Amino acid sequence: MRECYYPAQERIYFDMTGHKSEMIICRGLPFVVVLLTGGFLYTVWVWVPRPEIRYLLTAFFGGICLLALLWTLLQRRQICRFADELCVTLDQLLEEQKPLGYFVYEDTLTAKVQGKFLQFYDLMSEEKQRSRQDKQVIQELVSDISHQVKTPIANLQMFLDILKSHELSDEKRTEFLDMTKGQLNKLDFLLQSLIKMSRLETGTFALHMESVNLYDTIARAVSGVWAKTERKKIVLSVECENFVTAKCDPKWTAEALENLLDNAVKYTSVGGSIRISVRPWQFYTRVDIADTGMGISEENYHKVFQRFWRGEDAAMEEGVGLGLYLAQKIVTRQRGYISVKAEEGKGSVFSVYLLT
Amino acid sequence: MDIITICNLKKYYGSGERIVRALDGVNLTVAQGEFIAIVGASGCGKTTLLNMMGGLDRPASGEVIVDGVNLASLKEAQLAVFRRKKAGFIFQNYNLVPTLTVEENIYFPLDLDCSTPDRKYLREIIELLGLQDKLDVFPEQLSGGQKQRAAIARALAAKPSVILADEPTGNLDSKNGQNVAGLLKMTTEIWHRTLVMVTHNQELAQMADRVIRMQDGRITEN
Repeated sequence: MRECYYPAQERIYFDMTGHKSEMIICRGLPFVVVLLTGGFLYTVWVWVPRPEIRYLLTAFFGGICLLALLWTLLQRRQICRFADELCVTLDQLLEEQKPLGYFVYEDTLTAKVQGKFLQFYDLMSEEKQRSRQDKQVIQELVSDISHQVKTPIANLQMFLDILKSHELSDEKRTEFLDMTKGQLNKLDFLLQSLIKMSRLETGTFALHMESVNLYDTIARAVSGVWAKTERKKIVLSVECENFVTAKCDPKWTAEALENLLDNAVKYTSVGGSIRISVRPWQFYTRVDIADTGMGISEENYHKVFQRFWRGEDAAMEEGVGLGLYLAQKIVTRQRGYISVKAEEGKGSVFSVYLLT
Repeated sequence: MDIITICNLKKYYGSGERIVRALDGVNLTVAQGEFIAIVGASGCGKTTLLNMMGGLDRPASGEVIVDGVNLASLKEAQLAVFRRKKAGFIFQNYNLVPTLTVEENIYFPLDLDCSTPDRKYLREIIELLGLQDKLDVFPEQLSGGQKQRAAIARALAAKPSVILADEPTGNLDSKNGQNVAGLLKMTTEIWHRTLVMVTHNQELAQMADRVIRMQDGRITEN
């Protein structure tokens, strides 16, 4: 059945809810009807001389009254059905099940209101879903962390056992101590990253988004990797106008850029070059970090940003596969994004898009 | 929670010798709030798949379930309501109504639905997309990037569950394309909408949470 939206329906509905002023109108209605009927009959009997016309007019009046009554009853029934249908939907939603066989895609008023209810329900369940997802993320993090921490700890135990139980020459002993220190550094680095990661994953830190001078931010990031580029004799050039600004958190953005730079330095061979260029666009400011390193194959474009993902030919380099992942998390939290374009063996370009 | 479930979906065009298998047994699920990119060479069935999700085309066999409703069970009139309420479309050639201003274009899906617009929400979208100065302008006076931004606003206006974008940056240069794609990603993220984007641009596909590769009507990588 096709129902239409009548404002009148709404009025009657409110009558049934019993607002005070409308109650008075409701009570007064029969009185008015009696008065009108009386007035009509009196007028007809006094002013209409021919009895046939008199009866005709009375019958006509009676007919109109009857029709009005029928109309009201019909409306009432429609509204009752409307309310019943909504109640059924609400009952189903209260029992936490999505109502089946509802006619959301019907062009009716009931369907429209039901649709709104469902929208509300979805919103609520989404919230629940999200908290469940957060829990799952934390669980995954914990298992990942324990997995990553296992190796350095096992190594440390082994080194210490060797140092303790074997008679070693001084030279060997220093070697083992150095290795122990290396493992400890790795552990420290891991924990630092993991703390950052957990804060990013669960969103429990505040970003201070402000319009910042990108030049300063890049300078801050570059200073973090300067020593490493010197050591590998990599030429690092920055192409950035002095006045370019972007809406971001300077500290975290510098961290993300530093991670990208660190990655570039790591996979660029001695004597290569890294170029940073900035292009301000209408909505986004694009920061390109281009290196002349080993590159990334196309099918791995998407994977490089995954947590603990490492390229097959990256095994000889140090790292745990968190840098790019963290960089991406930081940038997306600031409503920007990162993309990569690379050619195997020739180098890769990471582009960071920050809101202008 | 899965918002789109596709089961063994098939769609053939033509018959006999010259049969074209546009979709040949596609299985796919998309979770609420996910951003997926469908990539593949032209003619591999990506657009057909997208049209199936939006109820623009009917499957030969198999099921398309969007938000708990099997689209095959809906009549044509019901499908129209479905598209109006649940799906937001963004096309390569924008498809803005040329005789309506940008503002009217954005409000158009709401007017069709006779629903009261959520003014605060719409103002937010318009500001995010940088369209506040262009509201009284007709589409032909806009640049490609601006047109597509208006189309994004229109797609989001009715608060649909899924946004379906078919080569949204196909007619734009790379700079405008990146801008539009970034805004599309950002807006769908802010309001937790599900976004399915068809593209052949690898650079854009990277922005997605998940990339689906198609070849000859089948999904080769998920």
